[in-house]
Amino acid sequence: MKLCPTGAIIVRGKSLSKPFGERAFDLESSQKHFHHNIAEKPKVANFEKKTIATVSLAGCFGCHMSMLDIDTDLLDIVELVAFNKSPLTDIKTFTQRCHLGLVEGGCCNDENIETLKNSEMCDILVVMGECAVWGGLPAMRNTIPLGECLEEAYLNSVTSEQGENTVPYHEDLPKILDRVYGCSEIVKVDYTIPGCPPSPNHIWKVVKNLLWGEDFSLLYSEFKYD
Amino acid sequence: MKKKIIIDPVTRVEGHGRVTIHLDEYGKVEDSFFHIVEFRGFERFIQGHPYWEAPVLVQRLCGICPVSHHLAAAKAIDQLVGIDPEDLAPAASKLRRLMHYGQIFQSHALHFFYLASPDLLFGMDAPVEKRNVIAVAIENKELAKKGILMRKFGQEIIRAIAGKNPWRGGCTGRDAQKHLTQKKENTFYPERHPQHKNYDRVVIGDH
Repeated sequence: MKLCPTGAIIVRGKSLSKPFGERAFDLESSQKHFHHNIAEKPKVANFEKKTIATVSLAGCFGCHMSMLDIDTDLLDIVELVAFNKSPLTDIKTFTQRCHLGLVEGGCCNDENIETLKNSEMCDILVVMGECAVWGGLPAMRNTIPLGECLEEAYLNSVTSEQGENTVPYHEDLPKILDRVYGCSEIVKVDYTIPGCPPSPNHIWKVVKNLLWGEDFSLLYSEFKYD
Repeated sequence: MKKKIIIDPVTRVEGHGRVTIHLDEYGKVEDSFFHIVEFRGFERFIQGHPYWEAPVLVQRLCGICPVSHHLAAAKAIDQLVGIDPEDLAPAASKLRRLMHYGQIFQSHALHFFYLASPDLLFGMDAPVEKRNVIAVAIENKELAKKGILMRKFGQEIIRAIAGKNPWRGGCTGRDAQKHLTQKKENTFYPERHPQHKNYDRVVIGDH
């Protein structure tokens, strides 16, 4: 059904035979020579295994799960990268300088800021996911005073008894910041991968490009968010 | 002098955490705490948004179990449209249950194979560099592959019902009907379409 000759008016389900993102054009790369899969070894002159570190600040771990969503390609990725400090490994502090750092989640307490400033041990800093880039979903509390959020969560919750609950405050707990900051407001960020969560192919294509210079092209299906 | 032992962060768990152990002057344990350090304030900031956005917003509480939160929010807003969550049409409640089972499967597979298996395979006293999923994948590729495929199976079920993983609908209204088509359902049954990839066979190991 064509209402407009330029294609400016589209009727859902009627104008296009397939929705945007599922057309054959979107599922293939427009750059013909960049058809690689994630698990292939990058074809560079001097290939060496590199280390990456990941951290989840105030994130929900969705971006980490997306990173692991490459499924069986993970068995080939382990030959290319080694993880240093990460929630997936038991290494709590940096043992060496890492080539790449992947950060997920924004900064919501002062401990997050410390962890983020530690990221200078990584040569390249990449933030992934909306929360790390600009605050993301937790940043929805920026317009609301922090006291109200804490009250609603700890004092007025459905299962609490009036007068029995207190807002947690302890010397070991990190102090909550007045608002949620994206990572670029605290440290200098080299690259960002947007998305909530970014698609796994996107993340690993970017990682392989930054570590070994392998060219990549993002398919529309990997980059559209709706 | 009083000292503290701090384990920060707690790794290889599905979430954030921090353990502090307080010692007294003689070095004996006086007190120990387990802190959950992240506070995001979901309860307050979703107030004021349209009610149908609640399942979509609350999903992002956790990237490993978004379906649970999605279902909880869907049940909470069911009564607004006049339906008792216990009283749904059988197909709807079965779809919700199926999605939830898919999530239980993938989350448990994730914890067991990706996060806990290094302890069970290499022992708790193994060196630090060895206690992670990468070492398991290098040492015992078959086991790692099976674990990965188990998690993939769960994710595929969620994806078939919700439309996209991890963030999508699937529990409410029109969204629940449109994604699980007969064709997708057939991919999970080997006897209907033997040439389709049948994950459950691979998981059990006879393929």
